[in-house]
Amino acid sequence: MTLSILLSLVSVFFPPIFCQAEEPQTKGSLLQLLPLESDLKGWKLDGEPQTAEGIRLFELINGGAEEYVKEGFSTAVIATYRNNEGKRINLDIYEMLSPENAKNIHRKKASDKGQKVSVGEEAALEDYYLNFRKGPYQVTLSGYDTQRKTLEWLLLIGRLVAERIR
Amino acid sequence: MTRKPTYEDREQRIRILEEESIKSEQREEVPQYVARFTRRSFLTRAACLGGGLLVSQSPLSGLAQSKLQTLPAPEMKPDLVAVKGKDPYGSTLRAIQELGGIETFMHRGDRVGILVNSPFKNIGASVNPDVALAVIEKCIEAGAKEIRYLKDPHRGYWERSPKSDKLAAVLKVLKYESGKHVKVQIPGGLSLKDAQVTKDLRDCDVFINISITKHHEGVLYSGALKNMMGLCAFSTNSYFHLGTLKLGWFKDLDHLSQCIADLNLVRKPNLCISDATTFITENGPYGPGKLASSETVVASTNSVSLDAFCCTFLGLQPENVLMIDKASRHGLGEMKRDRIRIKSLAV
Repeated sequence: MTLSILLSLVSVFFPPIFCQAEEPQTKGSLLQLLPLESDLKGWKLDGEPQTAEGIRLFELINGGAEEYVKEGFSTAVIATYRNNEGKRINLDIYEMLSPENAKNIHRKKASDKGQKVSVGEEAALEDYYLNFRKGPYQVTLSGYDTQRKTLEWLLLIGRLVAERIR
Repeated sequence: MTRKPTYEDREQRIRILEEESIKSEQREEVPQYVARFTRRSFLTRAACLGGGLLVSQSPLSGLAQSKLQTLPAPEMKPDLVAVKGKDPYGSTLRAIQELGGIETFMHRGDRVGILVNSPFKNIGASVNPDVALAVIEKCIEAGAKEIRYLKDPHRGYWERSPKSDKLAAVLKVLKYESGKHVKVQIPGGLSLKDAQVTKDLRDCDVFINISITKHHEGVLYSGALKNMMGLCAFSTNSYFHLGTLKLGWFKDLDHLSQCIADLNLVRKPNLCISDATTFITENGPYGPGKLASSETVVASTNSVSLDAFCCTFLGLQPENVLMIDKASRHGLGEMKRDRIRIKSLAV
């Protein structure tokens, strides 16, 4: 029941999770998807963005990782932006193994009831959060209230991320 | 149909614990709290921690019940208190008070370990910081020697509290989790025979479990029992989630639920609080997702009863949440609502 035995078994059945040969480049490219502070007037990154690869996503978001890993997860970057008023917006970017994987996880995360908005593909804006996908990426942004201004910021940051995804 | 644990089962479990405690004196990695287990202390603890439930299911339960029933009603403390109110901080204070006050659970000079479900930044996915704040303040007032996180919160967690004026003093007192884990044997575990658990759990005199009632994609509901996974090292939690691989990737819900139930044998909390004020009803445990607001804080001395009560906020019945059922079968607590003394009030 040791972790090493399990991981070796899993690696046999799910090799893509453990095949991250170009680790530094992958991390670097994901970080490049984060909007620059200069593009966000009054907003700054709140601490260093955190990244995770493969099964290590569990260390970053605990049980939240389960659905992503199950669908075929590659890497993730998680960041928080904070404005001058102390408001915060969370940005999670998940790179899945394929666009199909991203589509599947997105449909699980985004409710049908969400308001359709123009950000990437299949974007859904809900009470205090926004989900969209583009290529192999699934992106989630969340605020802490339902104010119109907060939702506008979610859309702006979301669009900046979508533009950065080639 | 599954067999209900009998008095003999519990006797056997106590014997195993006794034997284990003798063995543990020679084993450095086994925590002191297991080593301290004796037949007398086990029974005393069970009774003191509202675990009269252990007795209540035994053949002696008739006697125990009849003695309880002869007591005047006002003398009987509830097993569980649910306080509804707009202010989570005030509701938490009231819930603790209704259970007998914080002094019921700790003594001056005790080291208190708090397990707050707070790793997630999304709203409704972590305990409202005001709930945790109220518990910590009561512990300080009662003369706790040390208050330590058994799992550190996410960055920015405390900033979500509007009671920032109270925070400075509290944050000064709190100590971070040491990051060290010890191997704990779980003699009664069915799927989990041992676990790597934070060393700080061993070192604290009082253990307070502060969970949030919320949706969980895997086990349907997350509360006090599930929160115990916050004590474990990554390697142990991976074993929970990966399963035995017999049924494939993540499909072994029975294994995950049994592991959670087994883990709860390691140590029963002295006090459990669940935040059911605002919580996610989908995309759990991480969120974001649709929110529900029950505006309720629930306190109990028993994780099983607490979860059996709180899962109903998500429209679930405890019988349908496998980990609650399995924990109950371990004799860890009562899940039948009509057998739990519940006090509900609004403030």
